[in-house]
Amino acid sequence: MAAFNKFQDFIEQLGKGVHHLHAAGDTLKVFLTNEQPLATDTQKSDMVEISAGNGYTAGGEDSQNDYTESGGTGTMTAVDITWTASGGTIGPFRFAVLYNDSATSPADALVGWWDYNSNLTLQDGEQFKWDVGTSVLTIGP
Amino acid sequence: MATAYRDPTADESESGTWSGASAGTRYTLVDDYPDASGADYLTHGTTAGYLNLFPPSLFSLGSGATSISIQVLYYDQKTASQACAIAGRLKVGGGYYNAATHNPANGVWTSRTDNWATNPKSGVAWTPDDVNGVGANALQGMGFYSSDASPTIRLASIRLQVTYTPGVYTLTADAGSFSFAGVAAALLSMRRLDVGAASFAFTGSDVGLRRLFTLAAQPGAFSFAGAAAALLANRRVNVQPANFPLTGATAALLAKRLLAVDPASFSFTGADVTLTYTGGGGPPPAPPRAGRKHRALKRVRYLAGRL
Repeated sequence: MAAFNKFQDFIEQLGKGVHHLHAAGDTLKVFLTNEQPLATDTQKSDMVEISAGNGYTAGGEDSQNDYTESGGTGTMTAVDITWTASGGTIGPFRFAVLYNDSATSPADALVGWWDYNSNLTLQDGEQFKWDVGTSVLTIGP
Repeated sequence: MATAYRDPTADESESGTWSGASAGTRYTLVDDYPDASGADYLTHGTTAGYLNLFPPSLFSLGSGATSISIQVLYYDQKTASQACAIAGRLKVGGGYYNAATHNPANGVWTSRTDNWATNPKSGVAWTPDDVNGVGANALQGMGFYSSDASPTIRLASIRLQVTYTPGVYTLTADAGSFSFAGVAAALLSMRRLDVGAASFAFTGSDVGLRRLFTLAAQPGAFSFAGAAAALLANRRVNVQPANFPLTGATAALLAKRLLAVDPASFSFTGADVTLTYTGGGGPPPAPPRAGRKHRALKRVRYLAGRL
């Protein structure tokens, strides 16, 4: 289980109303990088995304985020994302980064990241899955 | 399942009789798999032996690949009806491992597949490192082996293939959790306190109205000034009937308030007053007692009426 690591700026932008985590709000995407994210990074351009091609689309994939509240706890959910190398390799990469593709100031505001703990290059036909459970993040008491 | 393959790009070594191309370039006649019609081919025999060939590189399976097996694919035929025996082979970890031989078809190009479900050197399942050319049990090359090459055997092509299940790598993402803690609010000030007339209590210090009294000339109409009162701050005390001023001490309610004191609700202690008559001659005349005369006349009139 890879731990969620928050970008500090997410807390700031959350309070300033930049992030709208519900389905009708913003589009949160996950991209892959081999560059170590820093907690102080604020936007997607602070890291180098892996090259597009062979099954990987620049900008990453839509997490299909949604946000609900129950009993005083807010929960953001998403769906699993799978990349499949086709016609070549994908990577190398190590980190999956969640960001707000709809945010404009800061552009592509960062939310959090997960560490696969080793560099990975998908060979042709291989798959990489960002597997989320019942929630991506919760905000509560 | 997925497959990847390599065609030969170099000769390694040989034994027995081989023809169709010179030594060192024999691979050029069998590097066009499948070449099912034998557009070009090697001829082996009648002396049995082997031909070892190198691929340009080994495979590059991901570390998550599973169910790996290796095949040598080729097309062969023999040139006469007598039996002969040939097989594919692998070079693994410096050793050579032959598949089971078969008797080729006479004059008919036939597809052959020799399969190694496990690593013949290690005796266990192929690993990604093995087929990627890493380690002591690494796959190194392919080739042919014959135990009987008479009649001669023709070989149109050869290919080294790996069959595997591609790796599926999963990053199981734990959820982030954000909690908010509010600080205790100081709800101790900036409030409006509506207090009913009789509902609040306060403590005033004793009032010491001890001196500075002035006796007025008219009975009951004297006025005096009280000493500093214990209700010392920011208060207005309306005291009936003498309406004397006093100063209050700091109140327990900490805020500016209007204290309206009912005439009967404020108590104080005045000092005794000695009223001394200073008129001339003797004691003051007794007040007229008009009532006695009136009652006597009334009695006489009553008795007269009875008579």
